[in-house]
Amino acid sequence: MSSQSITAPSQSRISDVRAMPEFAELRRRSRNFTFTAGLLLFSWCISLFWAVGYAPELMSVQVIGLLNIGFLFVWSQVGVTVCAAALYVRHLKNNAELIAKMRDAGSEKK
Amino acid sequence: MTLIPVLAAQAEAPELSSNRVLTLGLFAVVVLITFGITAWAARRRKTSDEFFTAGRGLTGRQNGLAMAGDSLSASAVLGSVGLVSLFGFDGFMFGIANVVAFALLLLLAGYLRNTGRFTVVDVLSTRMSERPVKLAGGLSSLTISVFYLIAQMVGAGALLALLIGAESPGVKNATIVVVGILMTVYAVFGGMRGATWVQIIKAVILMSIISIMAVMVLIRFGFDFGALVTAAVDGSGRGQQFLEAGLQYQNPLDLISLGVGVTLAFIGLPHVFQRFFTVRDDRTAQKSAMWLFGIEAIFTVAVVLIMGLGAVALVGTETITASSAGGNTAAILLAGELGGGSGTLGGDVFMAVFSAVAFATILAVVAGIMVSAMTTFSHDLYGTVIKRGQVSDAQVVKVARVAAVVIGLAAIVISLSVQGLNIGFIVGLGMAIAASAHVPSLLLNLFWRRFNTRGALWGIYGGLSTAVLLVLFSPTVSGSANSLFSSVDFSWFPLTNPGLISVPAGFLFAIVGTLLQRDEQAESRYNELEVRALTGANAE
Repeated sequence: MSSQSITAPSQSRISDVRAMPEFAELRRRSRNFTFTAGLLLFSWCISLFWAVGYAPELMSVQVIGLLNIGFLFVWSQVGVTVCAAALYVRHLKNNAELIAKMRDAGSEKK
Repeated sequence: MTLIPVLAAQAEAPELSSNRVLTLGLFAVVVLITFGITAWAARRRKTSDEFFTAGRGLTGRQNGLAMAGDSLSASAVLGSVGLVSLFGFDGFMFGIANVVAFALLLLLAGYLRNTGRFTVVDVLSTRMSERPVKLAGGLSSLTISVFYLIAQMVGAGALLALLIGAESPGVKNATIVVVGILMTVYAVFGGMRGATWVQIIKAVILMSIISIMAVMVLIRFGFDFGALVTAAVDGSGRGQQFLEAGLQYQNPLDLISLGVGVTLAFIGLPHVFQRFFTVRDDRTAQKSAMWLFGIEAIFTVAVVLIMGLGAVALVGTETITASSAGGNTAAILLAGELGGGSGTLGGDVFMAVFSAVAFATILAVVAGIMVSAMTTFSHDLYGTVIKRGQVSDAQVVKVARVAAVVIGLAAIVISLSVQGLNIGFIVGLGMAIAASAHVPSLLLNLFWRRFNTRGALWGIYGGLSTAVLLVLFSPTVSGSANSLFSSVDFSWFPLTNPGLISVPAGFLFAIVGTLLQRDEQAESRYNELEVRALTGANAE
């Protein structure tokens, strides 16, 4: 039935792939990127909510004209997320060959 | 978060639409177009893959638009513009939390696509005991979908009554029934492909209209953003306070709790999640998520902010709150104002067009949620739990259709019976369940070898019940004037958003559950899962 798990690849092929140094490298890079970017985005956003809740006076200090620190903090969220997305695209591009190679190595031939 | 209660709560609104015929005519056009799409999709539907995932053949852009359509519900669009117009800074901050949420989803898109096939729990069941995990995940997914459906339908009733300017219970009831029947028809006959194309077309029209409106607002102020802000501050009647925190949210802990819930929820919302399976591979899923993120970012920053400020600057807070206390009509009033003012031909046409787009939004969103609900039921609960995998593709499709009819009927009945109540919190509850029950297990499954069946079950059931119980004993359900039951008080949990407690609780349950059991098989299958997640090898 269709919701069954996907054709199981042989265990030896999986362990072969896992034994390759390139796989370890890919795993390290992917984890590093996902964890760093994810934690950074999440904590930056939560710190905005924290600051707005606990330091409203600081947030209402005006910087340029009507714009206050709070607004700049909110805008910085956009900046941070866009940077993260751009870096993610670069990360994928840089590792595209490595991923494709590992994909071939790990795939059961059909 | 609580957009619909406000919608449902209003009793009398001033005449919004003086041209009811035009508005209703445009609604009919919307329904005709969606029927056309459904009929077209119905001709192509042959296999179960086609029915549930549109044949996995969507492009990244198509799927990204459909996902954006899912998240841009009528309450999200009208609500977020309204929140900015009424609460300034606080309203804008809520919109930004959504953008961060989609950036987080982007980071995981490839992994999630690689490890699943149809539903949220597919991702877990590849290395765990399938039946118990699918029962747990199926129940939590279905709960979220039904909560969302009810919220959308009750919101639709209130909104339509407001749009066509007939505030009678009859109009609301009729709307709920009509929307309920339509969404069932879309799901049963159109499947995922029909729902997706309705969603894509709606997303494009919606984005175009609101972009045009945002540009028109800017033209009014000679593209001087400072002048717009100044006019908005004047129009708000709050002075400088409009640009500062605190107009909407008072309790700092509640605010953080909201932030935690919103930023994580989108990773685990079934109707958004399942769209990752309508594309070919992880790279297309990443492209979808990129489109989703880009659209959301532009929508929130440019459109919501400019339209919200524009509404308060051009229409004014008094007129907005007189029309709807929660600001849900701010965008529509702004449309009328941009068209030449209420009562003029241009103003009426603009309002009617915008109302029709809002109606299309409601239909597209409920159709998407319905497809997600029937997929969850037929695959997770029927196929795996009841039939233990011994079913044919044709049976699964048939059961899904029956499930759609049953869920549709149930949603209509429940919506009719709760529509007088203050039920706006249930969207927030649905998000809290997604963040607390799904996200811990999804993340631990991807990144922790030791994670196992017991951990997943504890995580899902623990997160689900913590979120539900905390909301049950919060001021949203009892003990305050805006509560579901305002006459009794059994609340002891002080926050209206459970995320701050329920998300860590979900993680804790999942981790403790895992450590109580040693499951060699789950750990050895992690080897395969990780290769598949990282490389896409053997993913389908």
